[in-house]
Order: sequence, then structure tokens, then C-alpha cells
Amino acid sequence: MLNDIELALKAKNGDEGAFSELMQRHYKGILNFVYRFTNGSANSEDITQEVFLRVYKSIGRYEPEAKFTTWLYKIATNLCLTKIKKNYKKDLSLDEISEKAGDLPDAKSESGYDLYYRNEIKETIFAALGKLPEKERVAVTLSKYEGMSYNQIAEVLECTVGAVKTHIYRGRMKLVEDLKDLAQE
Amino acid sequence: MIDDKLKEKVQMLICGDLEAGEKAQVELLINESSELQSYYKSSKLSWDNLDNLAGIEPSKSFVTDFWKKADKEKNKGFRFFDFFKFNWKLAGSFAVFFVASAFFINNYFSDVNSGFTFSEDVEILNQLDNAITLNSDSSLEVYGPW
Repeated sequence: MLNDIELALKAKNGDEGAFSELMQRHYKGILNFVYRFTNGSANSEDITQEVFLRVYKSIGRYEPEAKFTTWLYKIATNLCLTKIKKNYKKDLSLDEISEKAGDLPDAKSESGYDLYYRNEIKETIFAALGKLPEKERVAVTLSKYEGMSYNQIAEVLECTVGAVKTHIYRGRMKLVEDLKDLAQE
Repeated sequence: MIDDKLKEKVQMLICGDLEAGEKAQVELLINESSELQSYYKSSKLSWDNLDNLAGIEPSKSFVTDFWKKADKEKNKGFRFFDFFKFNWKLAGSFAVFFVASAFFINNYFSDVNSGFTFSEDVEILNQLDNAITLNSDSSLEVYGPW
């Protein structure tokens, strides 16, 4: 099985099958990154498609010096930041969230209270993440949900490993304050 | 009240980023202070609570939808301004070149259209100068010899 870099190089030479394979491997990860980063935007899938369109258009410029995922997440991060700045984010009602969010597959079997409680937790986490400054949010999201190393995050954020650590510690400190009530429940 | 530096050390401890000596020191501080113990616990819990933010499933048509969009983009064809979209330096250079060219062409054609060239201008100016000088000399004769 070819690795990401080999596939990316094939895609760079115009192999659409290789690009499809790369997309199959990563679109779920990118979708969830976008979803969490944009505070559960209803447009997460559209943004993810746009990320891959950008990758597709610029695959010719891909250099295998960095990991493909690092490059991919860099593009995703930049696009998310642009979208957030353009107030792309839409506030959804609880009904809309439970209707659209795929993370509630058992919603029908859950009691109304459980569903409400889960949505409350989700809203609280989104609000806490949303309050973090850009770089702290990127660093925390990539570290917590994508399991990226400090080095990879540093490449995505174009900063030093030391700076990434600081962003993560400070982000965590703020989250402790904002999620304090949740932790006590 | 725990100061921010100590809070940061606690986060470093949880992330496993403290060296052995410093780790032992912070652990000792945590063991000695109930307030720090509580902060340590709620830090770990908050981080774990982020797991409650589950992900979403993509639609089944994600890949096919993507290729439809990609084909649409390809069929758009080449648009002149797309070329400059992410190349501001090139766009700037072209803008400067166009302005300079427009200025040069405008000046050149205004000279051509006015019917004479630069050398003719100089000749006319010389004739005018001579005429004025001559007239001045002759007109001064009325005042007698110098």
C-alpha cells in the first residue's frame, strides 16, 4: 500500500485515482477538524470539500519535505480561519444540531433529558473552544482531537515547538476555567 | 489563589513535558496543597471532557460531490484575473507596466498628433527668439546710438 507522500506525488503527476485515495483516507478527519474548529458549523462538509478543492488545485506545488497531513491541515486551518473571520459560522438551534450532527446516531432512543444534556455539554465545549485565541484553538484542537505532535502543529502554525507548547498550556488553562462547572457535574 | 505560573506548570505536568527534577517538585507541591490538588483534578477532567465533543459522519456522497465540484472548476476554463489571484507581486508589476506604457503611449501620440516633433519645436523657438531680439534692437534705435 502506498503511503500518503507517494500518493501525493502520483496525484501531482495528474493521477486522479491517487488523489481520490488520499481524500478517502483523510476526509473524515478533516471534516471533524473543521466541525470542531468552526464550532459545529452546519457548513462543515462544504468547507471540507473546499479544503480538498484547494489541495487539488495546488497539488502541483506539493513538496514531499513535510508530511502530507501537515500540509493538508495547514490548508484546512487557513480556510477555517478565513471562514470564521467572514462570520461564516451560523448559530444553530438545538433542534438543528440534533438533526444535522451525525454524532448523535441514537438520538431517537435517548430520552429528551439525555439529548438535552448532551447538547448542553457540546454547546459548553464549543463556547469554551470558541473563546480561545486563534493559535491556542488550533494548537489545542490539533493536539487533542487529531493527536498531532508538537512538531507537526508547529509546522501547521508556522511557529516554534516552544510556542506551540505555550499555546497549548495557556489554552488548557483557559479551558479549565470555562469547563470547571462541567468537570464538577 | 494559585498563580498562573504554577497553573502552567500543572498543565506541563499533565502533558508530560516536565523534566524529572521539576516534575518531582510540582508533584510535591500538589500533594501539599488541597487547592492545587483540586486544580490538578479539574484540569485533567476538563481535558477529558473535551472527548464529549464527538465528531460527525460525512455524507455518503462526499467523494462524488467533490469530483462534481472539481469538474465544474476545471470546466470554468482559464480566466484572466484568476492568474493573478494569489500572485500579488506579479499583478503589481503588470499594473506598473500598464500605467507606464499608457503614459508613454499617450505622450508619444499627443506629440505625433500635434503635427511636429521635438526638433521642429526647437527651431520654432529659435526663430521666435531671434525675431524678438531683432525687433528689440531695431525698436531701441529710436533712443539714438548707445
